[in-house]
Amino acid sequence: MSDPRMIIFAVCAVMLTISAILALYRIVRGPSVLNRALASDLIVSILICALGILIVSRRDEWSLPIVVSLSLLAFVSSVAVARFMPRSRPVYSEPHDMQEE
Amino acid sequence: MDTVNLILDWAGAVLLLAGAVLCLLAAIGLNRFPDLLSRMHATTKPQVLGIILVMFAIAITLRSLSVLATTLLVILFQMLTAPVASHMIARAAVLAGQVDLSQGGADCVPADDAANLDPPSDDSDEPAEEGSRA
Repeated sequence: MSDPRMIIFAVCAVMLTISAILALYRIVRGPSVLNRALASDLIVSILICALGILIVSRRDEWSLPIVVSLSLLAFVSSVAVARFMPRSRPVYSEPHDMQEE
Repeated sequence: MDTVNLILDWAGAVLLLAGAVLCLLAAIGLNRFPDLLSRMHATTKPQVLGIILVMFAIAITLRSLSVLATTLLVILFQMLTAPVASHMIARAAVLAGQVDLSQGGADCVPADDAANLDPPSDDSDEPAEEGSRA
């Protein structure tokens, strides 16, 4: 019974790897640090799903406390980055010289 | 009883596949959307739902009461923390001037926060005071 489901687990693992690589591309590319914080939040959630695949495929709930800790701490980095983001004047569509501020 | 176990195992595998597809959709949406706020829409919604489905898959495959309680706890934590993170990121983006407010969003900035906006100044002990105003 476990052999046909291993194909599904392998497909899930490949999809999670591709999504992690895509999130890493946004971390590299992101114009501001908030994009990178959002992508790192997604990477932690991908990690939670990968641990879920591990738990389901091995039928062993040993990694479940790790999943609980990760789900609590995933947002801490995003909140910390957003908390200490420097403020500046809001952007409007009419052109204005940024040097005058 | 064995057929019930077989059905539940395959249901867990299908839920896991759905969770992985949703994570992939979140990563694709993160790269394809033009703005930070739309990227947050595309990322956090499938992310939370994907984690919920994966936790259901764990609970269905490992049919134990402690595992069910732990997975429900994970779902609760994720639903508590994901809106907080996205709200903080959106607020920091608006206050940092990275969002184009000319299309109608300027009234969503709180008045006291808009009054306290100051241009990016030189490095001083400002971040502590700015944090206390938040």
